[in-house]
Amino acid sequence: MVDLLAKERTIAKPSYNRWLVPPAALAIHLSIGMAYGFSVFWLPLSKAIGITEVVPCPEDLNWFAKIIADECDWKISTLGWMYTLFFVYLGSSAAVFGHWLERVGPRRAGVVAACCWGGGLLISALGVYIHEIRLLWLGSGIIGGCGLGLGYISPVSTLIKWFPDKRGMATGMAIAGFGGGAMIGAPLAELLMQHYASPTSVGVWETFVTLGLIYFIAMLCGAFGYRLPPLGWKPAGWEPPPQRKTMITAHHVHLYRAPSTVQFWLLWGVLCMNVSAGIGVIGMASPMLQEVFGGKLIEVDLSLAQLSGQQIKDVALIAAAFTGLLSLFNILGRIFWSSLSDYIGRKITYFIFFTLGMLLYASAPEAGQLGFVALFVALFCFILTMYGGGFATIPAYLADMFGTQFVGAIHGRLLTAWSTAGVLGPVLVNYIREFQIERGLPNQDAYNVTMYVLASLLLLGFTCNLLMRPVAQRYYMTEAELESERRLAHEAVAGKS
Amino acid sequence: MRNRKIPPRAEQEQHPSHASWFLVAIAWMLVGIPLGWGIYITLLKSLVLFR
Repeated sequence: MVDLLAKERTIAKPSYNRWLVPPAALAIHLSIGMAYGFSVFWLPLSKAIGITEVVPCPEDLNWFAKIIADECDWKISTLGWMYTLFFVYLGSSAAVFGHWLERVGPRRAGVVAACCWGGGLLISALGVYIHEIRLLWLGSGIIGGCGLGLGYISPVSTLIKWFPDKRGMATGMAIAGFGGGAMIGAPLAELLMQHYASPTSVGVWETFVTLGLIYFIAMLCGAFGYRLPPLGWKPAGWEPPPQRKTMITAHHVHLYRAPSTVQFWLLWGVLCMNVSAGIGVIGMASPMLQEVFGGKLIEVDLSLAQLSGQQIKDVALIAAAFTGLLSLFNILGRIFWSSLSDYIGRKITYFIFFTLGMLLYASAPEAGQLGFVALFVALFCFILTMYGGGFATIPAYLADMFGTQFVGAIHGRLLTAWSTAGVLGPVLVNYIREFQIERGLPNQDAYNVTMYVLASLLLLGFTCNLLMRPVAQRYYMTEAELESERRLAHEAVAGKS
Repeated sequence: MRNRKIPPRAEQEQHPSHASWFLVAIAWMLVGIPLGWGIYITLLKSLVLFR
Protein backbone atom coordinates (compact mmCIF):
# COMPACT_ATOMS: atom_id res chain seq x y z
CA MET A 1 0.00 0.00 0.00
CA VAL A 2 1.26 3.48 -0.81
CA ASP A 3 2.17 5.35 2.34
CA LEU A 4 0.63 8.75 1.71
CA LEU A 5 2.22 10.09 4.87
CA ALA A 6 5.79 8.99 4.06
CA LYS A 7 8.34 11.77 4.32
CA GLU A 8 9.76 10.86 0.88
CA ARG A 9 6.41 11.72 -0.70
CA THR A 10 6.53 15.24 0.71
CA ILE A 11 9.75 16.26 -1.12
CA ALA A 12 8.74 19.10 -3.45
CA LYS A 13 9.09 19.02 -7.23
CA PRO A 14 11.39 21.62 -8.83
CA SER A 15 8.48 23.79 -9.96
CA TYR A 16 6.96 23.94 -6.46
CA ASN A 17 6.14 27.37 -5.09
CA ARG A 18 7.37 27.86 -1.50
CA TRP A 19 4.58 30.36 -0.78
CA LEU A 20 2.17 27.39 -0.61
CA VAL A 21 3.74 26.23 2.66
CA PRO A 22 2.70 29.17 4.93
CA PRO A 23 -1.05 28.77 4.18
CA ALA A 24 -0.73 25.04 4.90
CA ALA A 25 0.90 25.90 8.23
CA LEU A 26 -1.75 28.54 8.88
CA ALA A 27 -4.56 26.02 8.28
CA ILE A 28 -3.15 23.96 11.16
CA HIS A 29 -2.30 26.86 13.46
CA LEU A 30 -5.65 28.63 12.95
CA SER A 31 -7.39 25.38 13.89
CA ILE A 32 -5.44 24.63 17.05
CA GLY A 33 -5.48 28.33 18.01
CA MET A 34 -9.11 27.82 19.05
CA ALA A 35 -7.66 26.57 22.34
CA TYR A 36 -7.37 30.24 23.36
CA GLY A 37 -11.08 30.76 22.65
CA PHE A 38 -12.42 27.90 24.76
CA SER A 39 -13.73 30.31 27.38
CA VAL A 40 -16.78 30.94 25.12
CA PHE A 41 -18.01 27.50 26.22
CA TRP A 42 -17.69 28.07 29.97
CA LEU A 43 -20.92 30.00 30.52
CA PRO A 44 -23.18 27.67 28.46
CA LEU A 45 -21.45 24.62 29.95
CA SER A 46 -22.06 25.95 33.44
CA LYS A 47 -25.80 25.66 32.60
CA ALA A 48 -25.64 22.36 30.70
CA ILE A 49 -28.15 20.72 33.06
CA GLY A 50 -30.31 23.70 33.99
CA ILE A 51 -30.28 25.15 30.41
CA THR A 52 -31.69 28.54 31.44
CA GLU A 53 -30.15 28.75 34.92
CA VAL A 54 -27.39 27.08 36.88
CA VAL A 55 -28.29 23.99 38.92
CA PRO A 56 -25.78 24.11 41.80
CA CYS A 57 -24.43 20.95 43.42
CA PRO A 58 -25.43 20.34 47.06
CA GLU A 59 -22.97 22.07 49.41
CA ASP A 60 -22.26 18.86 51.36
CA LEU A 61 -20.80 17.10 48.30
CA ASN A 62 -16.99 16.86 48.30
CA TRP A 63 -14.89 17.96 45.30
CA PHE A 64 -14.70 14.49 43.72
CA ALA A 65 -18.42 13.87 44.21
CA LYS A 66 -19.15 17.20 42.50
CA ILE A 67 -16.93 16.15 39.58
CA ILE A 68 -18.83 12.91 38.98
CA ALA A 69 -22.31 14.22 39.84
CA ASP A 70 -24.56 14.18 36.77
CA GLU A 71 -27.58 16.02 38.19
CA CYS A 72 -25.93 19.39 38.90
CA ASP A 73 -23.96 21.85 36.79
CA TRP A 74 -20.18 22.24 36.52
CA LYS A 75 -18.55 25.31 38.04
CA ILE A 76 -16.63 27.64 35.70
CA SER A 77 -13.56 27.19 37.93
CA THR A 78 -13.75 23.42 37.33
CA LEU A 79 -14.06 23.92 33.57
CA GLY A 80 -11.11 26.34 33.67
CA TRP A 81 -8.76 23.43 34.40
CA MET A 82 -8.93 22.81 30.67
CA TYR A 83 -6.49 25.71 30.07
CA THR A 84 -3.94 24.22 32.45
CA LEU A 85 -4.23 20.87 30.67
CA PHE A 86 -3.89 22.56 27.26
CA PHE A 87 -0.64 24.30 28.05
CA VAL A 88 0.93 21.49 30.08
CA TYR A 89 0.21 18.91 27.36
CA LEU A 90 1.14 21.32 24.56
CA GLY A 91 4.60 21.84 26.06
CA SER A 92 5.11 18.20 27.06
CA SER A 93 4.03 16.68 23.75
CA ALA A 94 6.11 19.18 21.75
CA ALA A 95 9.12 18.29 23.89
CA VAL A 96 8.57 14.52 23.72
CA PHE A 97 7.53 14.12 20.08
CA GLY A 98 9.79 16.78 18.49
CA HIS A 99 12.48 14.27 17.52
CA TRP A 100 9.90 11.84 16.11
CA LEU A 101 8.50 14.71 14.02
CA GLU A 102 11.94 15.47 12.53
CA ARG A 103 12.27 11.80 11.55
CA VAL A 104 8.83 11.19 10.05
CA GLY A 105 8.27 14.64 8.57
CA PRO A 106 5.62 17.31 9.05
CA ARG A 107 2.81 15.58 7.13
CA ARG A 108 2.51 12.54 9.40
CA ALA A 109 2.82 14.79 12.46
CA GLY A 110 0.14 17.12 11.04
CA VAL A 111 -2.25 14.21 10.46
CA VAL A 112 -1.70 12.89 13.99
CA ALA A 113 -2.30 16.43 15.31
CA ALA A 114 -5.56 16.60 13.29
CA CYS A 115 -6.71 13.27 14.75
CA CYS A 116 -5.85 14.40 18.30
CA TRP A 117 -7.45 17.87 18.07
CA GLY A 118 -10.51 16.90 16.00
CA GLY A 119 -10.95 13.57 17.80
CA GLY A 120 -10.45 15.26 21.17
CA LEU A 121 -13.34 17.60 20.42
CA LEU A 122 -15.55 14.64 19.52
CA ILE A 123 -14.68 12.93 22.83
CA SER A 124 -15.50 16.21 24.60
CA ALA A 125 -18.85 16.31 22.79
CA LEU A 126 -19.62 12.87 24.25
CA GLY A 127 -18.52 14.18 27.65
CA VAL A 128 -20.99 17.07 27.43
CA TYR A 129 -23.75 14.79 26.11
CA ILE A 130 -23.49 12.33 29.03
CA HIS A 131 -22.37 15.11 31.45
CA GLU A 132 -19.00 13.60 32.32
CA ILE A 133 -16.33 16.28 32.81
CA ARG A 134 -13.50 13.76 32.89
CA LEU A 135 -14.20 13.03 29.23
CA LEU A 136 -13.83 16.76 28.50
CA TRP A 137 -10.50 16.87 30.29
CA LEU A 138 -9.34 13.70 28.54
CA GLY A 139 -10.67 14.66 25.09
CA SER A 140 -9.83 18.32 24.66
CA GLY A 141 -7.38 18.76 27.53
CA ILE A 142 -5.08 15.74 27.25
CA ILE A 143 -5.58 14.28 23.75
CA GLY A 144 -6.35 17.70 22.27
CA GLY A 145 -3.38 19.18 24.17
CA CYS A 146 -1.07 16.64 22.51
CA GLY A 147 -2.57 17.71 19.16
CA LEU A 148 -1.77 21.31 20.06
CA GLY A 149 1.87 20.52 20.74
CA LEU A 150 2.36 18.43 17.59
CA GLY A 151 0.44 20.86 15.41
CA TYR A 152 2.29 23.85 16.82
CA ILE A 153 5.78 22.56 16.02
CA SER A 154 4.87 20.63 12.83
CA PRO A 155 5.61 23.45 10.32
CA VAL A 156 8.53 25.14 12.11
CA SER A 157 11.56 23.40 10.61
CA THR A 158 9.82 23.04 7.21
CA LEU A 159 9.18 26.79 7.02
CA ILE A 160 12.73 27.61 8.10
CA LYS A 161 14.12 25.31 5.39
CA TRP A 162 11.89 26.91 2.72
CA PHE A 163 12.61 30.47 3.86
CA PRO A 164 16.29 30.61 4.83
CA ASP A 165 16.21 34.26 3.75
CA LYS A 166 13.08 35.13 5.81
CA ARG A 167 13.14 32.70 8.73
CA GLY A 168 11.50 35.10 11.14
CA MET A 169 8.71 36.17 8.79
CA ALA A 170 7.84 32.61 7.74
CA THR A 171 7.56 31.16 11.23
CA GLY A 172 5.98 34.39 12.46
CA MET A 173 3.12 34.01 9.97
CA ALA A 174 2.38 30.47 11.13
CA ILE A 175 2.62 31.30 14.82
CA ALA A 176 0.39 34.35 14.24
CA GLY A 177 -2.21 31.81 13.12
CA PHE A 178 -2.15 30.23 16.59
CA GLY A 179 -2.95 33.65 18.04
CA GLY A 180 -5.65 34.23 15.43
CA GLY A 181 -7.43 30.89 15.80
CA ALA A 182 -9.65 32.12 18.61
CA MET A 183 -10.69 35.15 16.54
CA ILE A 184 -12.35 32.81 14.06
CA GLY A 185 -13.24 29.96 16.40
CA ALA A 186 -14.83 31.92 19.25
CA PRO A 187 -17.42 33.87 17.18
CA LEU A 188 -18.05 30.78 15.05
CA ALA A 189 -18.68 28.74 18.20
CA GLU A 190 -21.09 31.43 19.46
CA LEU A 191 -23.01 31.29 16.16
CA LEU A 192 -23.13 27.50 16.26
CA MET A 193 -24.29 27.40 19.89
CA GLN A 194 -27.09 29.86 19.07
CA HIS A 195 -28.05 27.67 16.10
CA TYR A 196 -28.08 24.41 18.06
CA ALA A 197 -29.56 25.76 21.31
CA SER A 198 -32.94 24.22 22.15
CA PRO A 199 -35.17 23.81 25.23
CA THR A 200 -33.26 20.62 26.04
CA SER A 201 -29.70 21.59 25.09
CA VAL A 202 -27.35 24.60 25.37
CA GLY A 203 -25.93 23.56 21.99
CA VAL A 204 -22.38 22.86 23.16
CA TRP A 205 -22.00 19.17 22.31
CA GLU A 206 -23.38 19.77 18.81
CA THR A 207 -20.92 22.69 18.42
CA PHE A 208 -18.03 20.48 19.56
CA VAL A 209 -18.97 17.88 16.92
CA THR A 210 -19.22 20.50 14.16
CA LEU A 211 -15.97 22.24 15.13
CA GLY A 212 -14.21 18.90 15.54
CA LEU A 213 -15.09 17.93 11.97
CA ILE A 214 -14.22 21.38 10.54
CA TYR A 215 -10.85 21.44 12.30
CA PHE A 216 -10.10 17.84 11.36
CA ILE A 217 -10.65 18.60 7.65
CA ALA A 218 -8.79 21.95 7.76
CA MET A 219 -5.82 20.37 9.52
CA LEU A 220 -5.73 17.44 7.10
CA CYS A 221 -5.68 19.94 4.20
CA GLY A 222 -2.79 21.72 5.91
CA ALA A 223 -0.89 18.49 6.58
CA PHE A 224 -1.27 17.30 2.99
CA GLY A 225 -0.22 20.76 1.80
CA TYR A 226 3.18 20.45 3.52
CA ARG A 227 6.16 19.94 1.21
CA LEU A 228 9.82 19.66 2.14
CA PRO A 229 12.48 21.31 -0.02
CA PRO A 230 15.05 18.99 -1.62
CA LEU A 231 18.35 18.92 0.26
CA GLY A 232 20.50 21.92 -0.63
CA TRP A 233 17.59 23.94 -2.01
CA LYS A 234 17.88 27.72 -1.83
CA PRO A 235 15.68 30.57 -3.06
CA ALA A 236 16.48 32.18 -6.41
CA GLY A 237 19.22 34.80 -6.08
CA TRP A 238 19.84 34.15 -2.39
CA GLU A 239 23.22 33.28 -0.90
CA PRO A 240 23.73 32.10 2.68
CA PRO A 241 25.02 34.89 4.97
CA PRO A 242 28.82 35.09 5.23
CA GLN A 243 30.39 33.37 8.22
CA ARG A 244 31.34 36.71 9.78
CA LYS A 245 27.71 36.88 10.95
CA THR A 246 28.58 34.94 14.07
CA MET A 247 25.03 34.93 15.46
CA ILE A 248 23.81 32.82 12.52
CA THR A 249 25.49 29.44 12.37
CA ALA A 250 25.96 27.34 9.23
CA HIS A 251 26.38 24.24 11.44
CA HIS A 252 23.86 22.04 13.25
CA VAL A 253 23.55 21.01 16.90
CA HIS A 254 22.00 17.63 17.72
CA LEU A 255 18.75 17.68 19.68
CA TYR A 256 20.31 15.59 22.44
CA ARG A 257 23.28 17.96 22.74
CA ALA A 258 21.28 21.21 22.65
CA PRO A 259 20.13 21.09 26.31
CA SER A 260 23.80 20.76 27.35
CA THR A 261 24.54 24.20 25.92
CA VAL A 262 24.21 27.41 27.92
CA GLN A 263 22.50 28.98 24.89
CA PHE A 264 19.53 26.61 25.12
CA TRP A 265 18.86 27.57 28.73
CA LEU A 266 19.42 31.26 28.06
CA LEU A 267 16.79 31.10 25.29
CA TRP A 268 14.56 29.10 27.64
CA GLY A 269 14.91 31.97 30.11
CA VAL A 270 14.25 34.55 27.39
CA LEU A 271 11.00 32.82 26.36
CA CYS A 272 9.88 32.00 29.89
CA MET A 273 10.37 35.56 31.19
CA ASN A 274 8.78 37.22 28.14
CA VAL A 275 5.76 34.90 28.28
CA SER A 276 5.38 35.03 32.09
CA ALA A 277 5.30 38.82 32.01
CA GLY A 278 2.97 38.79 28.99
CA ILE A 279 0.53 36.28 30.49
CA GLY A 280 0.57 38.31 33.70
CA VAL A 281 -0.33 41.47 31.78
CA ILE A 282 -3.05 39.72 29.74
CA GLY A 283 -4.64 38.49 32.95
CA MET A 284 -4.48 41.95 34.52
CA ALA A 285 -5.29 44.25 31.61
CA SER A 286 -9.08 43.96 31.61
CA PRO A 287 -9.71 44.15 35.40
CA MET A 288 -7.06 46.89 35.65
CA LEU A 289 -8.86 48.98 33.00
CA GLN A 290 -12.16 48.57 34.87
CA GLU A 291 -10.82 49.27 38.35
CA VAL A 292 -8.45 52.11 37.44
CA PHE A 293 -10.87 54.04 35.22
CA GLY A 294 -14.21 52.79 36.58
CA GLY A 295 -17.04 55.14 35.54
CA LYS A 296 -14.78 57.24 33.31
CA LEU A 297 -15.12 54.51 30.67
CA ILE A 298 -18.82 55.39 30.35
CA GLU A 299 -18.36 59.10 31.08
CA VAL A 300 -19.60 58.86 34.68
CA ASP A 301 -17.40 60.34 37.39
CA LEU A 302 -17.67 57.41 39.82
CA SER A 303 -15.43 54.53 40.86
CA LEU A 304 -16.27 50.96 39.85
CA ALA A 305 -17.67 50.14 43.31
CA GLN A 306 -20.11 53.07 43.09
CA LEU A 307 -21.61 52.09 39.72
CA SER A 308 -25.09 50.60 39.27
CA GLY A 309 -25.67 47.08 37.91
CA GLN A 310 -26.31 48.27 34.34
CA GLN A 311 -23.31 50.61 34.44
CA ILE A 312 -21.06 47.76 35.59
CA LYS A 313 -22.35 45.69 32.66
CA ASP A 314 -21.52 48.54 30.25
CA VAL A 315 -18.01 48.82 31.71
CA ALA A 316 -17.56 45.03 31.40
CA LEU A 317 -18.58 45.26 27.72
CA ILE A 318 -15.87 47.86 27.14
CA ALA A 319 -13.35 45.70 28.99
CA ALA A 320 -14.27 42.73 26.76
CA ALA A 321 -13.70 44.93 23.69
CA PHE A 322 -10.31 45.88 25.14
CA THR A 323 -9.39 42.19 25.52
CA GLY A 324 -10.36 41.56 21.87
CA LEU A 325 -8.22 44.46 20.74
CA LEU A 326 -5.27 43.12 22.75
CA SER A 327 -5.51 39.75 21.00
CA LEU A 328 -5.49 41.51 17.62
CA PHE A 329 -2.29 43.37 18.53
CA ASN A 330 -0.81 40.14 19.85
CA ILE A 331 -1.23 38.67 16.34
CA LEU A 332 0.01 41.76 14.51
CA GLY A 333 3.08 41.77 16.73
CA ARG A 334 3.84 38.17 15.80
CA ILE A 335 4.07 39.05 12.12
CA PHE A 336 5.66 42.51 12.52
CA TRP A 337 8.43 41.73 15.01
CA SER A 338 9.40 38.35 13.56
CA SER A 339 9.66 39.90 10.07
CA LEU A 340 11.67 42.83 11.42
CA SER A 341 14.03 40.40 13.15
CA ASP A 342 15.14 39.15 9.71
CA TYR A 343 16.66 42.60 9.12
CA ILE A 344 17.85 43.75 12.55
CA GLY A 345 18.77 40.32 14.02
CA ARG A 346 17.14 38.28 16.77
CA LYS A 347 19.32 39.50 19.64
CA ILE A 348 18.51 43.15 18.89
CA THR A 349 14.81 42.30 18.52
CA TYR A 350 14.69 40.77 22.01
CA PHE A 351 16.83 43.65 23.30
CA ILE A 352 14.01 45.97 22.12
CA PHE A 353 11.31 43.74 23.66
CA PHE A 354 12.95 43.73 27.06
CA THR A 355 14.13 47.35 27.20
CA LEU A 356 10.95 48.88 25.84
CA GLY A 357 8.92 46.31 27.77
CA MET A 358 10.47 47.29 31.11
CA LEU A 359 9.80 50.97 30.41
CA LEU A 360 6.21 50.38 29.33
CA TYR A 361 5.34 47.95 32.14
CA ALA A 362 6.75 50.36 34.69
CA SER A 363 4.88 53.32 33.20
CA ALA A 364 1.48 51.55 33.00
CA PRO A 365 0.45 52.57 36.55
CA GLU A 366 1.45 56.16 35.71
CA ALA A 367 -0.66 56.05 32.53
CA GLY A 368 -3.59 54.89 34.63
CA GLN A 369 -3.13 57.70 37.16
CA LEU A 370 -3.03 60.30 34.36
CA GLY A 371 -6.55 59.23 33.48
CA PHE A 372 -6.09 58.99 29.70
CA VAL A 373 -7.92 55.86 28.57
CA ALA A 374 -6.51 56.07 25.01
CA LEU A 375 -2.93 56.26 26.31
CA PHE A 376 -3.54 53.32 28.63
CA VAL A 377 -5.08 51.22 25.83
CA ALA A 378 -2.30 52.13 23.36
CA LEU A 379 0.35 51.20 25.92
CA PHE A 380 -1.12 47.76 26.56
CA CYS A 381 -1.66 47.15 22.83
CA PHE A 382 2.03 47.86 22.22
CA ILE A 383 3.06 45.59 25.10
CA LEU A 384 0.97 42.81 23.54
CA THR A 385 2.73 43.17 20.17
CA MET A 386 6.00 42.40 21.97
CA TYR A 387 4.48 39.43 23.81
CA GLY A 388 3.37 37.95 20.47
CA GLY A 389 6.65 38.93 18.83
CA GLY A 390 8.55 37.02 21.51
CA PHE A 391 6.70 33.81 20.62
CA ALA A 392 7.05 34.25 16.88
CA THR A 393 10.74 35.15 16.78
CA ILE A 394 12.01 32.32 18.98
CA PRO A 395 12.07 29.58 16.25
CA ALA A 396 14.24 31.78 14.02
CA TYR A 397 16.51 32.60 16.99
CA LEU A 398 16.87 28.85 17.61
CA ALA A 399 17.66 28.18 13.95
CA ASP A 400 20.31 30.92 14.03
CA MET A 401 21.98 29.41 17.10
CA PHE A 402 21.49 25.65 16.60
CA GLY A 403 21.12 25.25 12.82
CA THR A 404 18.11 23.90 10.95
CA GLN A 405 18.53 20.11 11.23
CA PHE A 406 16.77 19.78 14.59
CA VAL A 407 15.17 23.19 14.96
CA GLY A 408 11.60 21.82 15.17
CA ALA A 409 12.53 19.33 17.89
CA ILE A 410 14.65 21.84 19.85
CA HIS A 411 11.76 24.31 19.59
CA GLY A 412 9.52 21.59 21.02
CA ARG A 413 11.78 21.23 24.05
CA LEU A 414 11.95 24.99 24.49
CA LEU A 415 8.15 25.17 24.67
CA THR A 416 8.38 23.75 28.22
CA ALA A 417 9.29 27.37 29.02
CA TRP A 418 5.80 28.29 27.84
CA SER A 419 4.19 25.65 30.08
CA THR A 420 6.23 26.96 33.02
CA ALA A 421 5.27 30.54 32.23
CA GLY A 422 1.62 29.50 31.98
CA VAL A 423 1.77 28.59 35.68
CA LEU A 424 4.30 31.21 36.86
CA GLY A 425 2.68 34.31 35.30
CA PRO A 426 -0.87 33.98 36.67
CA VAL A 427 0.30 32.65 40.07
CA LEU A 428 2.69 35.57 40.50
CA VAL A 429 0.09 38.16 39.50
CA ASN A 430 -2.68 36.73 41.69
CA TYR A 431 -0.43 36.21 44.72
CA ILE A 432 1.06 39.73 44.61
CA ARG A 433 -2.35 41.30 44.09
CA GLU A 434 -3.95 39.42 46.99
CA PHE A 435 -0.98 40.27 49.21
CA GLN A 436 -1.33 43.98 48.39
CA ILE A 437 -5.10 43.98 49.02
CA GLU A 438 -4.62 42.14 52.33
CA ARG A 439 -2.22 44.93 53.35
CA GLY A 440 -5.10 47.36 52.88
CA LEU A 441 -4.17 48.86 49.50
CA PRO A 442 -7.15 50.03 47.38
CA ASN A 443 -7.96 47.64 44.49
CA GLN A 444 -6.92 50.10 41.78
CA ASP A 445 -3.49 50.63 43.40
CA ALA A 446 -2.79 46.93 43.94
CA TYR A 447 -1.78 46.61 40.29
CA ASN A 448 1.18 48.99 40.55
CA VAL A 449 3.54 46.70 42.45
CA THR A 450 2.53 43.79 40.21
CA MET A 451 3.52 45.75 37.12
CA TYR A 452 6.91 46.52 38.67
CA VAL A 453 7.42 42.83 39.49
CA LEU A 454 6.54 41.88 35.92
CA ALA A 455 9.02 44.50 34.70
CA SER A 456 11.68 42.82 36.86
CA LEU A 457 10.93 39.51 35.12
CA LEU A 458 11.74 41.30 31.89
CA LEU A 459 15.04 42.38 33.43
CA LEU A 460 15.90 38.69 33.92
CA GLY A 461 14.98 38.00 30.29
CA PHE A 462 17.07 40.99 29.23
CA THR A 463 20.09 39.53 31.05
CA CYS A 464 19.62 36.11 29.43
CA ASN A 465 19.46 37.72 25.99
CA LEU A 466 22.50 39.88 26.70
CA LEU A 467 24.54 36.78 27.60
CA MET A 468 23.75 35.04 24.31
CA ARG A 469 26.88 34.05 22.37
CA PRO A 470 27.35 31.63 19.45
CA VAL A 471 27.31 27.94 20.41
CA ALA A 472 30.81 26.50 20.99
CA GLN A 473 32.16 24.44 18.07
CA ARG A 474 32.44 21.28 20.16
CA TYR A 475 28.64 21.00 20.18
CA TYR A 476 28.29 21.00 16.38
CA MET A 477 27.44 17.77 14.59
CA THR A 478 30.25 16.27 12.52
CA GLU A 479 29.71 15.56 8.80
CA ALA A 480 29.41 11.84 9.63
CA GLU A 481 26.79 12.49 12.33
CA LEU A 482 24.86 14.77 9.99
CA GLU A 483 24.94 12.18 7.20
CA SER A 484 23.78 9.46 9.60
CA GLU A 485 20.96 11.61 10.94
CA ARG A 486 19.83 12.56 7.45
CA ARG A 487 19.75 8.90 6.52
CA LEU A 488 17.52 8.18 9.51
CA ALA A 489 15.38 11.16 8.57
CA HIS A 490 15.10 9.86 4.97
CA GLU A 491 17.05 12.83 3.58
CA ALA A 492 20.45 11.26 2.82
CA VAL A 493 19.37 9.48 -0.35
CA ALA A 494 18.14 12.73 -1.78
CA GLY A 495 21.44 14.33 -0.95
CA LYS A 496 23.51 11.61 -2.60
CA SER A 497 21.51 11.05 -5.79
CA MET B 1 13.12 1.79 -3.38
CA ARG B 2 13.33 5.28 -1.96
CA ASN B 3 16.07 6.31 -4.42
CA ARG B 4 13.56 6.29 -7.25
CA LYS B 5 10.94 8.35 -5.43
CA ILE B 6 13.09 11.23 -4.26
CA PRO B 7 14.03 14.05 -6.64
CA PRO B 8 17.77 14.75 -6.99
CA ARG B 9 19.66 17.17 -4.76
CA ALA B 10 18.78 20.73 -5.72
CA GLU B 11 22.01 22.67 -5.36
CA GLN B 12 20.80 25.19 -7.92
CA GLU B 13 18.11 27.76 -7.32
CA GLN B 14 14.80 27.01 -9.00
CA HIS B 15 11.92 29.21 -10.09
CA PRO B 16 8.31 28.22 -9.39
CA SER B 17 6.03 27.76 -12.38
CA HIS B 18 3.64 30.58 -13.36
CA ALA B 19 0.63 28.33 -12.77
CA SER B 20 1.75 27.76 -9.18
CA TRP B 21 0.99 31.41 -8.35
CA PHE B 22 -2.70 30.70 -9.06
CA LEU B 23 -2.59 27.91 -6.47
CA VAL B 24 -0.83 30.25 -4.06
CA ALA B 25 -3.66 32.81 -4.44
CA ILE B 26 -6.32 30.14 -3.76
CA ALA B 27 -4.46 28.73 -0.76
CA TRP B 28 -4.04 32.17 0.79
CA MET B 29 -7.72 32.98 0.14
CA LEU B 30 -8.78 29.78 1.93
CA VAL B 31 -6.98 30.83 5.10
CA GLY B 32 -7.27 34.59 4.59
CA ILE B 33 -11.07 34.80 4.31
CA PRO B 34 -11.84 33.16 7.68
CA LEU B 35 -9.02 35.12 9.31
CA GLY B 36 -10.30 38.37 7.78
CA TRP B 37 -13.79 37.57 9.08
CA GLY B 38 -12.37 36.97 12.57
CA ILE B 39 -10.45 40.25 12.50
CA TYR B 40 -13.57 42.10 11.26
CA ILE B 41 -15.68 40.70 14.12
CA THR B 42 -12.98 41.63 16.65
CA LEU B 43 -12.71 45.19 15.31
CA LEU B 44 -16.49 45.51 15.28
CA LYS B 45 -16.66 44.51 18.96
CA SER B 46 -13.76 46.86 19.77
CA LEU B 47 -15.63 49.88 18.42
CA VAL B 48 -17.41 50.24 21.74
CA LEU B 49 -14.05 51.23 23.23
CA PHE B 50 -13.79 54.29 21.01
CA ARG B 51 -17.32 55.60 21.34
